[in-house]
Amino acid sequence: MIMRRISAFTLIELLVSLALSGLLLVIINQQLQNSFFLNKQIEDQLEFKLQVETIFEHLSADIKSATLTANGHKSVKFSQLQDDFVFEIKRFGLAPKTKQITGMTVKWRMGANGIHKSISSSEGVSERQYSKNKLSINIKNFAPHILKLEIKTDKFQKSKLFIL
Amino acid sequence: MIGHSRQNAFLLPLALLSLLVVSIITINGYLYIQNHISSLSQYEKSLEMESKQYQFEQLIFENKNIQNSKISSQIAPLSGFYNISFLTHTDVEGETRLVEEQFQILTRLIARCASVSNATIVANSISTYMVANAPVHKGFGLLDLFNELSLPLDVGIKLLPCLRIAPRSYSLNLKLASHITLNSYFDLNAADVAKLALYLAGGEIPNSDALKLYLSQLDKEKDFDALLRNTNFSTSIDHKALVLFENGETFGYLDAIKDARGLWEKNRSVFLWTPMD
Repeated sequence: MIMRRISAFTLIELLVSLALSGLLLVIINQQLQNSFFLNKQIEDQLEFKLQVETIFEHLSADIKSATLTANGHKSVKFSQLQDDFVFEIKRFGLAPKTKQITGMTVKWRMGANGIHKSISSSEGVSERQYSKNKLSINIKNFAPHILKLEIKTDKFQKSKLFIL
Repeated sequence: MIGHSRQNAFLLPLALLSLLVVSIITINGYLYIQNHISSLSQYEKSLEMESKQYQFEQLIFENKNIQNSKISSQIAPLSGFYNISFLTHTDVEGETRLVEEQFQILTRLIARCASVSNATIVANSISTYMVANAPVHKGFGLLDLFNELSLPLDVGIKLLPCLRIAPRSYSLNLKLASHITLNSYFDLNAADVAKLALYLAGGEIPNSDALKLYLSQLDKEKDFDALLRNTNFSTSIDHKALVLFENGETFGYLDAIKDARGLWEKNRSVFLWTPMD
């Protein structure tokens, strides 16, 4: 009987390749999991960063449309309430329920309890929680009526100037 | 040959992994750019709106009304309106106090113009604010004051044809004052006010002395000197407003004032919305 040797991998080669493939699969699996986890983290961070930018835009629009005080500047007051900063803006706008133009007081509360907005008008108070993420707020007065608002989280910080 | 197949086998998962990482970064980058593009378009819209508002603001200086199918305007002289700055007086020591006689005038005006039952309460809150914040600066308008005091906007709108806010030197032009203003300012009865308005318009009462004489005949005991200090008989106006309407609804209130050189300048503009067509 003539034995024909078919060229192939030896047992040791197969075992080594299987071991290597297994190792590789574990590494790829870990990498994939890490990638998805990292992606989720980036998404969350980005989403919150964009949310903060949107909030800056909303706050800016509120300040821009604020009525004036007797000193000729915008009717914007800010105060500290426990760990939060509160912006109180008086402006005209559409009442949330009746959609009638009315005078209103917009209050933005930012800090350890996240970001919260309330609108008080003749028809009552309407409230909205924009974020529950803990924030650190820093306010600086560059000039008597130029304000720098800085929002800090453990991941990023953003700031914007407001002219009052 | 074997080496070649192994190389391919190991490259594929690595390539897939790289593609995955690149696609994740690209998706996040795209979202970020998309957000910035959306912010840019918002910024452009806001610039466009500011430019439109500026165009409307120029109408008051051109002293012309616009009339088209959707938008119309109306110019109103404010010199004959009661100036809220009359309410306060600052003495030599710099202390600001309320002028009681002017407070009574304001109360009467509020009651007659806005037909509100609580005119004294409204007048009281206005007076308290004015005493605390006098003198008012350029740009502060009546609507701002009502919002500061959290007064209902409908009351404020009813008072717009009767009151104005300007520096104290902007006196009440009696020739342009309405019957309600004359009535409330001098506290006269309707028949006397009608006669007074006629004499002022006809030029029979051309100055303070003539008016003082006329008023003293109506009320011999009252001293009108202090009241007449805040008045003038000019034929020109020093304060005017332009009210803008879209389809009959008011969307803008522009206020211009003459400065010391006699040039018109913007005092306050309030846009409730801005028509973009």
